[in-house]
Amino acid sequence: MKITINIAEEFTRSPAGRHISDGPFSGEKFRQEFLLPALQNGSDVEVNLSGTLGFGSSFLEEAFGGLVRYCGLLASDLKKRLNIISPVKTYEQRIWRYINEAAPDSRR
Amino acid sequence: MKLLTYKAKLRQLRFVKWGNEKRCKCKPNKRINRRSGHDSHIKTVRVPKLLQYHVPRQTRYIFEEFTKDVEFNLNQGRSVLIDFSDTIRLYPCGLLLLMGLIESWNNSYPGKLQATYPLDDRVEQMLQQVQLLEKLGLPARKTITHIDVTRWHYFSGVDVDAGQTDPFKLEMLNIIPEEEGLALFDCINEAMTNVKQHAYSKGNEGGWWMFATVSESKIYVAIHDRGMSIPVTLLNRPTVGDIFKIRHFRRDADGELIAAATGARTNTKLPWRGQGLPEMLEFASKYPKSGLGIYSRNGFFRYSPDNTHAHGKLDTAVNGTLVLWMVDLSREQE
Repeated sequence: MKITINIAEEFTRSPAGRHISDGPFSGEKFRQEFLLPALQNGSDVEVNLSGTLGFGSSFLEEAFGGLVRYCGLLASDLKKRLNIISPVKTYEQRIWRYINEAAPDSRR
Repeated sequence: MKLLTYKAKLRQLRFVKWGNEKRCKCKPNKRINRRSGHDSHIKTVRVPKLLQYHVPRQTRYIFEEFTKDVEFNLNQGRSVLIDFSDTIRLYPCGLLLLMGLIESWNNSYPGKLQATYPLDDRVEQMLQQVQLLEKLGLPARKTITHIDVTRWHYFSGVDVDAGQTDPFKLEMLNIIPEEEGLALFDCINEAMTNVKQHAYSKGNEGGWWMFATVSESKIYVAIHDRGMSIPVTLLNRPTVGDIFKIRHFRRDADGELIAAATGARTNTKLPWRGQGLPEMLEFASKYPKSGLGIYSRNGFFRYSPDNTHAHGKLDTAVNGTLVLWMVDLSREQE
């Protein structure tokens, strides 16, 4: 089974901010309300970035890097189950870089 | 010049006061200035003809003198009448700083600020568009039609709400390819995030103001906040180098710290944080005629269209941070 998340249609066209306290459409909110529930469901997840008007590195890093840092997911597991559909190649590259560079947070 | 004794000075002052009261024919505590027709207990401060801060240095000096004059009189307990009658041109840098200052003055000295309507129609429309006249107690009376006003998008807020910038972004997508546009939007979103995360961290809430416009192939974005300045943010966790700079090069330490922030130095010391300014600089450096100016506390950093970096010291500190970003997407020089 595959779950598709279209950020522009289901979340917002202009996601920005890192933490929930930053604003209404932050990376942390997207991770907690969309990404993590879909991944915890055990299914493959496709995230479609088309139609959005920019992200900001904080949003992308927190949403995707945060999966490894705070949620106990492994980069190797995400590579198998997470698929990024992007109008621009750089977004996909950056997301995978953030996932690969994120280290589990020992404080959590 | 003849020196007066203390008694003679008092006598002279009493005489002038008596003369004023007689001329005004009104109660001594409600004197009217004959020339301006305003209450003489209110100090009138004229806004500069060109409300500009960024460059040249002379206009920055004039702007600083104007704000010092207002602040001095408010500190003395006087009411201040901000007189816009000389002003014929507003620049985003000067207007953003003035908006921040007026918010701060209104909070610190409630009810002490008044203003006159500008004589210039375009200036009045702009001040109305950004609701500055309302904040100074003047109701809006114009219909905003001037192209120099309508072409500027104005955004403000407390949180990171990039959705309000959508009209500007959609306008940009009409003139630039999607890939370049998205990279530019990333920078704008990240700059807003930076304000929230760095300038107003630790429960210190505050606002930001942004102007943005597209003109042919040029994109201008100006953002101002009155939170913690970049030097203060970085010095929360100083490096050995910072301590050395502050001790030995104190005059220009702020400029050096701002320059360091454009190279991804951040107070969190986390490599994935504080990418807003470096991304803006990187984007500007891709296009030959683009520039970036950052003013914060007593320092400034400038990246000029001729690919030169400069940083230095400001005579008067800026409260918070002002970022001016210009990207020229034309590739004529490449």
